[in-house]
Parts: sequence; structure tokens; C-alpha cells
Amino acid sequence: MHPFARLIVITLVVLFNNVSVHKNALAEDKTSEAVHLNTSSAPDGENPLIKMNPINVIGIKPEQAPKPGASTLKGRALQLQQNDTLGQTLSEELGVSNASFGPGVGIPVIRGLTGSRVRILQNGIGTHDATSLSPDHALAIDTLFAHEIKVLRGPETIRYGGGAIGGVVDVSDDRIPQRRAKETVSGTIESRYNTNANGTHSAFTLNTGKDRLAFNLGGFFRDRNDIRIPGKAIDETFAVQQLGLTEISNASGKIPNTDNKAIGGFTGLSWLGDQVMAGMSVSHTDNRYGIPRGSHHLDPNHLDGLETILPRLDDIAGFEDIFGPQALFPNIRVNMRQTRYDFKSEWYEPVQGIDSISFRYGLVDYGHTEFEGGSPFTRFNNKAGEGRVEMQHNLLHNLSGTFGLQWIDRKFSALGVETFVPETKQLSIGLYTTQTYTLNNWSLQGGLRFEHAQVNPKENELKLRGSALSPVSLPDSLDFQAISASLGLQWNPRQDFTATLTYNHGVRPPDIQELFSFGPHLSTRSFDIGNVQLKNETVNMIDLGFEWKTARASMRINGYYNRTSDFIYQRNTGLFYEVDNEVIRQRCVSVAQCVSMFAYDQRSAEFIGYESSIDATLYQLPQGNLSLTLFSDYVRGRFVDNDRSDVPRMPPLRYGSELGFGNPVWNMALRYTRAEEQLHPGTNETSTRGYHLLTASADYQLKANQWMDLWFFAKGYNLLNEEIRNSVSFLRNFAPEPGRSFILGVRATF
Amino acid sequence: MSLRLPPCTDGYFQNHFFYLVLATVLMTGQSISAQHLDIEVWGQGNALFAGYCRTSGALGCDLGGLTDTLELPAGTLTIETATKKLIFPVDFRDLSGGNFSTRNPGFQSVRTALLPNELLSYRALGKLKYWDPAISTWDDAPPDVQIRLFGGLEASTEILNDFSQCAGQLLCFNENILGFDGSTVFSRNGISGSQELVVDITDTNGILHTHLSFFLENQVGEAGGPIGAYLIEMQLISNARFFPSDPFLILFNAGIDPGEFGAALNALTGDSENNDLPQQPELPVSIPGDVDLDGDVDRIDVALILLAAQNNETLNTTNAAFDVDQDGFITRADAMLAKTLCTLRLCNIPVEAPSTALNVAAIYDQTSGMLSLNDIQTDGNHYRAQLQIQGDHTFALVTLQPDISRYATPVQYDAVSEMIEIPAVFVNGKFYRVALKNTGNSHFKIESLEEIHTLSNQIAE
Repeated sequence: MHPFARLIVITLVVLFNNVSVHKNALAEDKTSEAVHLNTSSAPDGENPLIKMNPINVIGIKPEQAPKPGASTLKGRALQLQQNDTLGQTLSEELGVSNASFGPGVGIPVIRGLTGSRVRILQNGIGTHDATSLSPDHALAIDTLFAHEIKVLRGPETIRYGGGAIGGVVDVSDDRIPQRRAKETVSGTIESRYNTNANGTHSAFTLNTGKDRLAFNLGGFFRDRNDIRIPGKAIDETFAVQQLGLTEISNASGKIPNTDNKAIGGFTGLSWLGDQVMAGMSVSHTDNRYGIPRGSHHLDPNHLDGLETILPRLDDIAGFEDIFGPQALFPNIRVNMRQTRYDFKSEWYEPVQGIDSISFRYGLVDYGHTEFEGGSPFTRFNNKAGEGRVEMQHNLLHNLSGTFGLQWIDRKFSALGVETFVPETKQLSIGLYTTQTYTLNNWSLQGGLRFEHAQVNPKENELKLRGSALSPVSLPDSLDFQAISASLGLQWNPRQDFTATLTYNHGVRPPDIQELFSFGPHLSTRSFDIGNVQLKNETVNMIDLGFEWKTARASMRINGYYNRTSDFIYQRNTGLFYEVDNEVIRQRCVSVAQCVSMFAYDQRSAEFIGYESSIDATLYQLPQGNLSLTLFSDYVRGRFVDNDRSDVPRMPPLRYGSELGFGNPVWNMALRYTRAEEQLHPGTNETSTRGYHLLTASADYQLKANQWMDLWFFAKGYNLLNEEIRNSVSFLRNFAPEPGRSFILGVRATF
Repeated sequence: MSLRLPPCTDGYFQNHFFYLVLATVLMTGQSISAQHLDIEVWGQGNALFAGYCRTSGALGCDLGGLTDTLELPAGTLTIETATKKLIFPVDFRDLSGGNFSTRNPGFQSVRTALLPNELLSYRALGKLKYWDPAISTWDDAPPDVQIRLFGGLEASTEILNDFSQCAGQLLCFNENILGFDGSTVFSRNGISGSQELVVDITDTNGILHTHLSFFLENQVGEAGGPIGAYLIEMQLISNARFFPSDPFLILFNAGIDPGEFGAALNALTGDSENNDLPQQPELPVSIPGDVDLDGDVDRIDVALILLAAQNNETLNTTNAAFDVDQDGFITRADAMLAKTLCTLRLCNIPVEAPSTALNVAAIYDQTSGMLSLNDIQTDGNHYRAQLQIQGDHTFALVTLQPDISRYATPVQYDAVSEMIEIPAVFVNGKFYRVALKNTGNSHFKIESLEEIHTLSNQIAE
């Protein structure tokens, strides 16, 4: 949807012979659905198959005022942005960055926060993968299915609990059918090719149904070789300065072991009544990707003693399988699979004043195995059930809102070498309400949530494999209560101007890994020590925003200040854990063989930042409109007390512009982003250089025939082929962002 | 102990250039690395011993090669003539860590040479000696130079693993540990810092292979020092044995050539004809292909056999294990056969060690019938004791001496009930929880004996 466009909301009631579609069934796509119905049900000769009652247009009103802190990516913009990972897909959104761990992993970072502070949802239910646990774990979402991606930062996040204090990303793909089938069979087929690493990414969806039953089917396949980069994979300055290594096994032109293959699909079935719908879907994703070499086997001088013998061997013919490069420096691979069962039911207008009562439940069976040289060494499992019952009301003329109950029942385990977190059960229950009161040009939004969480480790004690360290004891269970609240005030003095002031008091109970970690965590080159007396983390954020929209120009600016009390972070203890000897020391001869020991601790932190954009239609020409967008975002995170040191892995200052030209049939755009140096990397972290990112896109929509539309698109990424070290990435010194890439694709809609 | 090596894979060697680079990198440090001897550790009864590493072909285990490199007379034993202490030469310029730090010498024990989960520590002795190459004499080290040794902190009482004492942290460290006590300093004035720190703990087969971290520095911790040779002294102690190893010496080369270093060593060894090679226990018989006697067949075994075959080594009693196919010759076929026998460290994910109380404060030697209680806590005091089995489930107290706290789960003695509670004792491959009742006259009777079941932690895709 174009940002300048105003939605024309048409309230209609269409009565077919024996079919009625309730307006609320179309709630998620009112406009397109209404237009389509209007078109497809046109009279056909003298004996129309479908008789329509007159459409009563009861009013045209401007687009509903945006929810504070919320943004939505959908339509053409989404399709052009869709990428292999969710983080990469959202990386051009204001205030959102991509925490990559090589190209196989991309987690959204909202205003500098990610992991346990940002909830990633799929159709309103959490993904329940292992992304919050470790930055090398990929999301179990394929973005090519997405119809819409919402990014929530403000008061709305209260519906999603403490894990959303940094924001929410909700990917909607309608795998549970939301509406009755309009055609016998409809759907989409899309395929795209990325010149960088010969990547292919294809997906299809099929929608069918009869009467009140609707059926969806979808599938995707993704395949990519090692990612291409302009320079060397490992920043050798970093290797010398931080690891003391002058001789490293480095790669140039590509990042080895970053290939990726994924396949998945879903099927969904719904029964759609007049006032009630119920549906379910089953989906499965299998994702296999490699982790760039970083924490493992960087030092060619150390092969557990083998390094002293190999140079003396003249001939290893016949033994290459155990003395070859892959055997000496084995790749780390991740095989991930997730099976989801989603259920949804909605009851529209059960009584006067109640818009709907909805129920959603997701049962997620997630697991991934990490392989070293083809041999499994750690297996992560996460079985979770998340449910939500929500009632939306409009009890009073100016008052509307929701009351909801949300619960999560989760069982997590990690078995194998890297078992730095014990098997744990987690149960959380949240009661919440959000209310909106409107009066004239004012709108007041408020939210309140009470949450109880219980975390129960299975083990009574944890021991460190191979270490002389005596076992550490664990508590039986931990309980947390959290009360979160939010308030937002919106003022529309003019139809084209909105001012918003929001206050968000979000409380997050500590996550499993923050409580119970104990052991070396190789992907982050750390030895993590949990803290079972962590308190709730509390965000207090004030956000002031202004939005101005006219037919030819718009401007948006948000400034925020986030003071987080008891911010949970990892404090460097000053000690090291020598990985090969499994011994704790105060200092190591070989830093490459040692990881620093970090203990989870709490400290107040503050984040201050802004997001801004200006859009303008410069010229309206017969061939199309020439538009210009200017944008910028920034966040600065610091700990409040003592040395006011930096919160690590913050995104840099970004600014840039986009020049676009096009019309409803075709578009082209050139986008330039300048990211400044990140000179506040955090203690013992490395700064990152600034970079220039130039992207271009073009697309063309073609009506192939009466039953198919074709959409061709092309995109160029990193056209300047810059070496981009992403400051929010854990692995920035080992794996830069992809080099120059061209993506070509086509989507057929039928 | 070491993290396991990557497994045998079916892939094929494709990148010769890579291997060439690797070999080049490694060869640069090869000659320097060759100038060291690792320390082999074994136990006999209640005593601990340290001697030369004997893994045929392994670096750090080649005494003959070392004496050749150092231009010493053939057959020279690195034993200090005056004291009969073994000397283990190393070089600060070896592979990693720069010119003033080293992880050598390594410490290792072969299969069954030590008990399972036996905790080894070092005890620093003497003072730092310096060989001045200009005047070719040994003397006390200059006042502004020292060797700092960072050992393991696992057994330190400064590490707390009770979260109630650690503000919730599962593990915490006494702030003092970040000062002087996390290391041992050898200087001309003797020993300062921690005199005892952990070397490592053996695995369930009694195998150990580990390294420490030595740094040459000035008194403010800056790396460096006068070129020459440095000499320190230490002994090894075990949680399972009363008697520490005999003291031994570690000789560091700090920037002098092999000839000069050999002269420094020769000044200590003198005429080695009067020295006898210390008696070491017979190498245990391990599984076929396990030539380094670490209880499994891995890539190091294969590489060692390949090397022996390449050098046309003749079969003798010390390398009999290399003849895997038992045809009377050491050939590449033996290496190939060893590769097919590749076991734990190559082909399988390590099975988690039995769920022991890692710091087993009690060890029972079935051969001698001696029960060693290495940490008994009673009324806040700690003791060591030995009890000899008498028959009829009775033990007699043989020795008792005050000691420091060494274990997270010590043996408890309740003076009121006169009961000894042993949380875990290792007997014949199993762990037991035992209670002993004081029956008077320094005799104790077994009241209860309960096997502690262990857990395995295997994974499968």
C-alpha cells in the first residue's frame, strides 16, 4: 500500500443465494476483498449466476489513524523486500536492523533490542524456535509466505507479554484460511534467483474450498551456495588484536560454509460460518544451514596435538578423510526442523457491544541439531504450546478495546556437547486489556497486563563436562510476577496531522538462558553463567511522534527515550575458560583457545533514539510519479551507572534517500543508505566501519491472461560491493554481509 | 582433558594448497616445539609419580630427539645431577602465545595410570633460577623478572558454587581471586600467589592430557625478560593419594639458540652416566590401534602409526602396539587398519562422563584395601584420613591429619552420631554412597552401601 494512499473503507453486506460473508471475516483485507467481490460478481447476461443486492456505500473515511509505534509492511513493498531471513526482509524498516550470524541467520533488532526482548510471531503465535537462546539460531519462518509483517513498538506490545518489551514482529501468512474461496482454485507461484551464491527461492500457495469450507496449501524451497563477499571473511585486524593470531585460516571472496537449503510447507483448513469460523493448519519447516567459521578451529596452530605430527608426514594419500581440511577444521552445520499445529476460531458479534471473541492456539515442536564435521554434537528441542483468548468490544460509543488471556507452556532441552542450558519447563500466564477512548480529535489508548511465569529446571544441579569444577546447585523452581502498563495519547488537530505521545512500562521476567546458563557457549565465544536471582527487567519508554500526510508529501518523526531498570546483561568476570583443556584460568597463553567467562547480571540502561522519514512526490508525469524519500534512524544505548559504558551491538546511525519512479503497473527505485561507524561497540567489543549501501529495484505487473497476473521484479543489493560489517551481528568480524547481489523473480497470481 | 577431535569423515582431501599452508605454518614452530618434553603422570598406591612422556613418535615424548636438537651427548638424561630431579625443557617461543609465554610442558597420563576423576594439582617449590648466557652460569633470577603460572581454579576455595552466596549467580569468584591468587609467581624470592592450583582432572579411564599457561614477565606483569634460560621447580599432588610426586624442574628457553640452551641444561645434568632412567610402570595394554594409550583410536593414533611407518621403525617392545595387523612390521596398512578402528574420539559423540560427585573426596583401592578419605569435614575443620579394610565390613583408621578444604562435597563426620557419610566412593567402575559407623578403637563399620546410578547423555538427530 502506498504511504500516501487513503483507504476507502466500504462497509458492505453481500448476500449470495445461500452464502453470506460477514464483514468481520474480511477484517484483515477489507479493501481488496471488497473490490474483488464487486468485480467478480458482475452480472453475466440476462441470467446471472449470482444475484447481488445493491451495495450500500455508507461512507468514505480517511485511513484509520495509525497505532502508535506500529508499522506494517505488505503488498508490493513487502514482496520487494522479501529475503531469505526475516531480519534481512525488515532491514530497511526504520528502527529495525538485522542481527545476522552469517547469511543463514537474520533476526530483527528493534531499536537496538533483540533476542528475549523482541517477540517474533507467526500469525499471532510465537515461533518458539531457539533464537532467543543464541544468536546463531535461525528463525523458523519463511518470509516468502508472508502477506503482511507488522512491527509493533508501542502500547500494543502489551498484548504479547514480557518477551515483547522491545517490540513485536508478527508475520501473517493466512495459512489458516480467513475467507471463503472465491474461485475453485486460486493461488500464487513465485520463484526468484539471486546471483550471489546462485540462490533460488520458490514458493507456491493454493487456495480452494467449497461453501463454508476453505482449504490452503503452500510450500517453499530455498537453496543457496556459499555467500559471496567483496573481501576476506575474517577481519584480520580483529584476529590479531583480539585473538593474537597472525596466521589464520581465512577465505577471500566468499564465506565458506554459508550455504543453505530449506524446504517446508503447510496446509490449512477452515470452516467459515456466518458468525463463527474455526480453522487449523499444520506446517513443517526443514532448514539446513552452515555457520561461518568463527569460534571454532580458527587457530591452525592448535589441533589437539595433531598439529605437531602432521607436518612430519610426507604422504597422507588414503587418509585425506581424516587429515584433510574438512577433517581438520570441520564445518559447523545446523539442521533445523519445526512442526507447527495452529488452531484458530473466531466468533463475530456474539452479543451487542462485542465485536468478536477469538481463540488461537499454536503447538510447536521445534528442534535443531548442530553438527561438527558431519557428526552431531548438540541437539536443541523446544516444545511449546501458546494460546490466546481475546475479546474485542465496542461497549461504549467512544470506547473500544480488548480483554485477553494468553498462556505459554514450554519445555526446552539441549543435549550434547554444548549443553549450556539445562532442560527446563516454563509456564507463563498473562491477563491483559487494551482500551481506546476517542473524543473529537483525541484518542487515548491504555493497556494493562498481569503476567505470572514459572520456570522449572529439571536438574537439581549442573556439572561441567570434563571439568574438575564441582556441580553447581539449582533451585527447584522460580516464579515471577510482572505488571505492565502502557498509555498513548494521539491528537489529530488536522486531518493530515497526527501527534502521538506514548508511555510504555513493560516488565519482562528473565529468560531461561539468563537464569540457568552454565557452560561454554561457542557461538558467542563465551562461558555463560546464569543467575537465578535475577529480577524482572523493566522498560520505561516515552515516545513522541509526529506524522504529517498530504496527497503529495508526508513526514514522520519519532523520538524516544527508554530507561530500562535491571537490564539483564552479561558481565565479564575477567576469567577465562580454556575450551580444550576444560579448565578455568585467570589468563591463557592462547586466547583463541579460551573464551571469556560472563555472568548474567543486572544494571540500568538507557536507550535514546529516533526514526524519521520524509516522502514526497516530486513530479506527477503521465508515465508515473517521481518520488523521493529521505530517511534516518539512530539509537544509542548506554548503561546508566558507573562508567556509563555502551550497551554492545547497537546499530549505527543510518541515513539515506530513495528515488522512485513508477505507476501502478511498474516501478523502479534507487536507494542509498549511509551507515556511519559504530564507535560505541561496548566493552571488549570491536567497532565497525561505516559503509555505503546502494540498492535498486524494478518491477512490472502484467496481466497474462484472464486468469493470471504476472509480476516481474528485479533487485540489486550492495551495488557498490562494499565490505559491510554489521555492528549488531555477533559474527561481524568473521562474516561480513553479502556482496553485490542481483535478484530476479516472477510471481504468478491466478 | 581435551575436547574431542572431529570425527572420521567420508569426505576426500580436496584442497592441497590449504594443507600446504597449514604445514608451512606448523613447520615454522616445529623445531621450537621439538625442544620440549611433556610430563607423564601415574599413580601407584598412595603415591604419585612424574616421568618422561613415552608415547612413541609424539612431540614432547622424544627424549632422544631433544638431546640431538640441543646438541647434547647421546643418551643424556635430563636429570639434575645434584638432586636427581627430572628436568623438562620447554621453549617460550613455541607455537602460540608469542615469545614470552608457553603452554608447555604438557601433562598426560595413559589409560589406567590414574584413577577416574582424579584431580591433579601442582605445588610450586623453590625459587626462580636464571642461566645467563653471557657468563654461562646458573644463579638466582634478576630481581625484576618472574615467571607467572596460571593454573586451573576449579579446586580453589575462592570459587563458590552456591548461588545463595553468589547473589544468585550459579558460580562466582571471590574478588581476591582476580588479584594475585589466580596464579603462581616464581621469582628469585621464592613462590608468591597461589602455591597450589589445578592441573586437570582425569577422565573415566584415568586419562589426562592438559596444559598450563606460563608467562615470562617483569614485576608489573609486562611480558618479557632477559634472554637466557629459566628454571622453576614443582611437584604434583592428587586428591586421591597422600604422597605427591617427587619434585621436578621445568627449564625454559627464553630466546637463546639450541646450543646455548643445551649448555644450560648440561650445566644441570653434568655427566649423566651416573643417572638412571626412572622406573616407570609398564605401559598398559589398550585396544588395538590405540598407540598413545588414551583409551581410544583417534587421528593422533593414525598419524603416529603413519609416521612410524614412514620412518621405517622396526618393531620393538616400546612400539609393539603400532603393529596393528600383527604382521611383524609397522606399515601404512597398520595406519589404515587403525583408521577403520577409529572409536570414541573420532566416530562418536563423547558420552558424558558418569554423573559423579566430580570431586570425589573418597577413593577405595581394591588392591591394597585402603580407603582414602581426602577431605573429611567435621565441625568446620577438615582432615585427611586413610582406613584399611579389616574384613567383616570393618575399616581401621591408619592415618589422620589436618588439611584444608578441597572438595565441594567432602566426607562428613558427625561427632555426635559418630557416623561418617561418604557421598561417593569409586569402587570397581561404580560409584557408591557409603555410611560408616564409629565402633570405637578407631574402627568403623559399614552401615549402608548404595550404588549411585550414573547418567549418560547421548544425542541423536
